[in-house]
Amino acid sequence: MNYLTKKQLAILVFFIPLAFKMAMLPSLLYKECGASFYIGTGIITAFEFLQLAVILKIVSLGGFEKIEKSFGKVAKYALALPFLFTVMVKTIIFSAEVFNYTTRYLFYNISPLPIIFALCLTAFYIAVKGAKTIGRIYELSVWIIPLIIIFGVFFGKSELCADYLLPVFENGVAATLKGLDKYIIYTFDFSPLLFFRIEKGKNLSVIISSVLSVLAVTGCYMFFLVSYGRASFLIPDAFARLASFNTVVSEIGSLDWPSSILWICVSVANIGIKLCAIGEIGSFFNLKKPWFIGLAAIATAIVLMTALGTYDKIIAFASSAIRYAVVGIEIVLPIVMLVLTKIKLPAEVSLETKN
Amino acid sequence: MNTFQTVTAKIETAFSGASDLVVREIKTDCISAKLYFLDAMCDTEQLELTLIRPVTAYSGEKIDFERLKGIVYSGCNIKESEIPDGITALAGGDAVLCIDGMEKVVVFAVRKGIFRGITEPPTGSVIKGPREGFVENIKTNMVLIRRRIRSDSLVIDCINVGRYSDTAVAVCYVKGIAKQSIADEIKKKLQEIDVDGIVDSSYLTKVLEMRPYSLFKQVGNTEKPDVAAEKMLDGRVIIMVDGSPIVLTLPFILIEDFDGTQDLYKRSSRATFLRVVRIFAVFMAVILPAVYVATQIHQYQILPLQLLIKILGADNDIPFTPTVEILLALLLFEILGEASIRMPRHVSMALSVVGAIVLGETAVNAGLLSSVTVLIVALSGIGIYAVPDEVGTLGILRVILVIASGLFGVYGIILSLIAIFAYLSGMETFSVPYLAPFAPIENEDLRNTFIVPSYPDDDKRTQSLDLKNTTKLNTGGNRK
Repeated sequence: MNYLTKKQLAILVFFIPLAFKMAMLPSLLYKECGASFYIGTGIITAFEFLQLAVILKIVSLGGFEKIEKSFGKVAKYALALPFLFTVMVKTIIFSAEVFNYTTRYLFYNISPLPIIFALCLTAFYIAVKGAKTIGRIYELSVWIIPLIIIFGVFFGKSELCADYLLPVFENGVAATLKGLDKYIIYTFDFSPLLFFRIEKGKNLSVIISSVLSVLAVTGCYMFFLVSYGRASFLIPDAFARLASFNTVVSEIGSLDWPSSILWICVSVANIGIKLCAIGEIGSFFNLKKPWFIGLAAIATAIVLMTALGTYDKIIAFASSAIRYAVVGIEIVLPIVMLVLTKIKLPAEVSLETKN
Repeated sequence: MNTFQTVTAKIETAFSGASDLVVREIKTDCISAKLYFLDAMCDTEQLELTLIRPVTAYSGEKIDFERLKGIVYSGCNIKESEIPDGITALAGGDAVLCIDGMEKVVVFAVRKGIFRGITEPPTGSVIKGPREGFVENIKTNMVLIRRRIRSDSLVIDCINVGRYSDTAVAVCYVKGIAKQSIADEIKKKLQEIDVDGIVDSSYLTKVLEMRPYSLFKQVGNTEKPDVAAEKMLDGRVIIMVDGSPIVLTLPFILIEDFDGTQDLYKRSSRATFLRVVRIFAVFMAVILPAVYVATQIHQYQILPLQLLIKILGADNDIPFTPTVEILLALLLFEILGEASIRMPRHVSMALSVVGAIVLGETAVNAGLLSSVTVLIVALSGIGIYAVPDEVGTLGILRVILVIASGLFGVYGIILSLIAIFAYLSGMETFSVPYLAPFAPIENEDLRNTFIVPSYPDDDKRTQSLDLKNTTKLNTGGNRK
């Protein structure tokens, strides 16, 4: 059920870092880092793929199953529980972003309750369906990209000014690093893949996709900057503004709906991946996956309704100290897992020698 | 009671309620027998010429089964059967002869062929291309297929299904092309059916579908032998049911229904253009009413200003909410569709015009529906018929989307579509993904989905079917 083909993985790898970096993050980072935000984001996205490389290696070596075999259930639980924490925190933050975009831009006046309910229900459904379904949703989402390009070519009327790209590091390298540090929680997002099975074989398509993803993130940030210049910090939802359909209201309406559709699709699927991973962690403890996923979806909905309902609250939570705990786990634990999966116990060594 | 009396008594008891049972006693020096057949089911002329005349004219030693085979003229199948098999054959229209001294009966396959002639099917009429359609008689249908695939690799496996109907069901495929495992699985499923009767192929559909309560059909069907043959050559298995002109095809993938019956006979460019139009038409048909509701209630910004003013202006005095208005119009459209199918043919055309024009016009004039709503529903209604095999599914989908759109606008439409595609992504028919070649992406098939290939590019069978023999056309050195 939780099985991804190499092709699906390649598409996932392209979209996972892209989705939530294209929403509120560009404007927030511009505010902190200035014009150098695109370089900083590009570099940190490239680093994210180191995490992916480690995770893919762990999965190919047997992942949690191997650790359980070698070190017992306690080790498996000890490693899975921190991931439950990080994935849950990210699920809440990313769901809050979708909710925030929906209520602020798609509706003039709507109660948040049904929006949260619909979001969590859909994410729950695709999470229950498993990795194969999520992979296929991503495959279908790819078809919206040509649509965006076609609409952009025909209707987009952006006035671009390359001068905004310079000077790089105008506020200094320290300011850029400070900005990246503040929003570091939006990076290193591949850990749910630890809970999926991945088709064996060459990783060429995944490598190409990773490079494309870094280029796409950097390219979109650059395009965002040359489009909006020093007013970039005023544009909270980058993906919906990149095609700049708002400049041609008379032709197509003010909502950049192909971008919105793509973003909602990939972000809901992204939340679905996280809930699916949560379900897998639940199954480690002999809990029924749908129930555990449902519980996580309800918890997310409750947090959105009570604590993280507004834009400012989401930003404050995402940039709070919790980010260090989340990113620390995301970076350190995969390395620990890699070491553990690489360690050969005496029993295994003797078995190999016999063979 | 001697053997002969026992055998005849068993048959007569079995058909005690059948007033159309004919019993013809044959008594000569060489034979004492009883011939049984059902009136009108059996070709009596052939029976008389091939059996009764030679047997009554025979003078020689006492007739037994071996001698009988040398006496009768019939080119039809003659076999010795146990009594229960004889009763089944008799019920099917064969003649049964009970000879004094024999414990078994002799079955003569002399069924009468009263069948509809081969005509152009109503669901797949073409301007260019073969006009033959399947009929209710399974044997005629087998001939229609055999005439198109004259190969010893063509397999036609017959299974009888139904406790009372004993319907002949034929599983056909081309050995070496179709996946044997799929054919075997289908046969196994058919053999496991324990039901009173199968009176149409649609009964089998419910058995063969993995999700019988699904909104989406999972078994393909066609009334055209050329389409069925083409599907078999592409690696699919077809199922013919006696008494049904609809032939089932498996495995089925959603995009198949977007192929037009004439695509094969048109120029590639024209067929490609029409295929893209069909896909667009379906999307428009399903999404347009929902998008209209969304723009009316929630997302005004989705429309250009001029269009927004026009639409909002047209909807001013309508006493219903946009959701109710569209649902009402869709309901009216469905009623019209249902009524026009069931009306006598002579009045249906006139009443359809009255329904569509007069009702629509009056509803607008009365201020119950806006003219834009009527236009949207009419466009959607026309678009949905671009893929006639999916009308039922698409009709329900657009209602679901209208409701989702009424509640959550474009957001509701997107989330509903995600959920629908998530559902479809998980569906497989005989291990073939339902949404192939889009999800999972299958490059070769993807090209053939949008572009109807012409020689020499139409060289591969559908890759999503995961066949071993994938080469359809061996271009050799002719490829330029």
